[in-house]
Amino acid sequence: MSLSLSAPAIVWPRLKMNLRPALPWLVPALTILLWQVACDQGWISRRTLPSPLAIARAAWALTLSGELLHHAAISCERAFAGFAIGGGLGLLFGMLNGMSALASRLLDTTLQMLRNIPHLAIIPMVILWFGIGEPAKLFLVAVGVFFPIYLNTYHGVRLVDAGLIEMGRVYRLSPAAMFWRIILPGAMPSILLGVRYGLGIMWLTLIVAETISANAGIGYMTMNAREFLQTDVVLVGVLVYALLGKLADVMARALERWCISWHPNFAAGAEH
Amino acid sequence: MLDGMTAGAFSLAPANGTGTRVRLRGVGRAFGSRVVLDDLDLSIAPGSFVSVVGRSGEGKSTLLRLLAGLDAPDAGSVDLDGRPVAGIPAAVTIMFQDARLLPWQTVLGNVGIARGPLWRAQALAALDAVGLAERAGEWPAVLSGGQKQRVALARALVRHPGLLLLDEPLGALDALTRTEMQRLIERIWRDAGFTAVLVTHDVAEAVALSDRILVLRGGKVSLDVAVDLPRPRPRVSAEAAALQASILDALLG
Repeated sequence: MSLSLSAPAIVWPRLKMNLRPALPWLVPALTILLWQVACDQGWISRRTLPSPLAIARAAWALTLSGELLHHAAISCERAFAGFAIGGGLGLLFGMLNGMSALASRLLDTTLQMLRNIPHLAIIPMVILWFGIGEPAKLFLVAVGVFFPIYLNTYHGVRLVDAGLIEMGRVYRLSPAAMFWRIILPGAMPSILLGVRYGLGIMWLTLIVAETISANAGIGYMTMNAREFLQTDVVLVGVLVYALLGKLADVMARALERWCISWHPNFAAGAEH
Repeated sequence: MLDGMTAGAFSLAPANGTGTRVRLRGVGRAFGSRVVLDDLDLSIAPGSFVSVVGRSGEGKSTLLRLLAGLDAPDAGSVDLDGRPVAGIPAAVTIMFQDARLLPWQTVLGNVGIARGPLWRAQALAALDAVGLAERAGEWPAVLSGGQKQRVALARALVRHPGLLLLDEPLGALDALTRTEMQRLIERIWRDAGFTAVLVTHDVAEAVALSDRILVLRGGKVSLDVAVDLPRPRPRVSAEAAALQASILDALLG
């Protein structure tokens, strides 16, 4: 009895050892395989869903023609310009309201009310104000990014340990030293959380904003392809959005690792 | 890294040569209707080590906060070296119950928190004085509680204080570390010559370290005894035990 129980216990770790790195990729790989077979057998119409190979071919063709890179670069430019404007203002107001009770009383309630408006709901107004050009897209991204960064900066600053601030007073730190050495690093984990939320909203907003009207960008590429029923190109666009989103998240994680390497949670990573 | 300065050149002495003279006249402080300090008169000789004991809520910490300039009295005056306290005095520094180290600065960066010229060399020398020079490059998170308080002590020493305020800095430490820290603080105080005011719950600690012990009660000094025992003091002695007993009586009675 004990032998039959112990046998699988020895076999299982070996199996896990070999499969462990591949295990998370098993389901996606099988899905793609099934998808390809379904397309080849004509179970799925090409107009409904192109095969994975067709998508790969379209991606390759768009890459070779330089079209993909061109559109991706324009989309990134919009995304990061909007992020810089919205994130910068969010950081500024978060800092201001976190450090000044007067500013907080004056502005926070207003900002909290505005926060509850879904920013994509104001697209009709944005088109009236800014037309359908670049400013409208930047405005939407900036508004979307502003709130997560504002809120997290504000809370981060508010929650900086009062004991550390008092210690700074005892050591007669100048207001600038107090900000750079105590308040900003203290609020940093929370700010970075806001940055990661903001990046997610940034791509989401951009996808919607680029479908309003554009003459370049991944959104334009996919809308254009839809007109011609190029479903493979549409799906390439979707994949590029996913890839850019992942890239932004990796960048945010790298920033996190670099900014808060002092944090005990990162101590193991810092030693490598 | 040493900016051309060696650890040996570091002096523990107060910036202006001697310990600070402390004088309180008719000091009162109330929080709402609760009177914490009531018409308190007190003077502390330069370079002496004074402990303030009392039950919780008897104004010990409030007294320290007034001396540190972190709080202002409602009545009376607090003078340091004959000048009234206004803002945070440069000659005064305080060790809190918790070490209050910045987790995002290295040990060295914490000790040299005020920066200024030659701060690295000074911070390293101060760390050397508390026996932690070899931990200078580490994050505070990896230190033990006692080591954190030693870093906080080094940070205070870089300031060359005339008056060092100790707000129960050893309260959270285990008994052995606590005794070790008491010896370190006593040694550094004797070398440096600053005035020290220690707030503590621990009567044995007060007897081990102080020249003079004050018991605060009802916002006033209810007992003021000189501790006339030779230094360095043995941990256990009949005189110390008798003194401890009489102070405990004053606290409990």
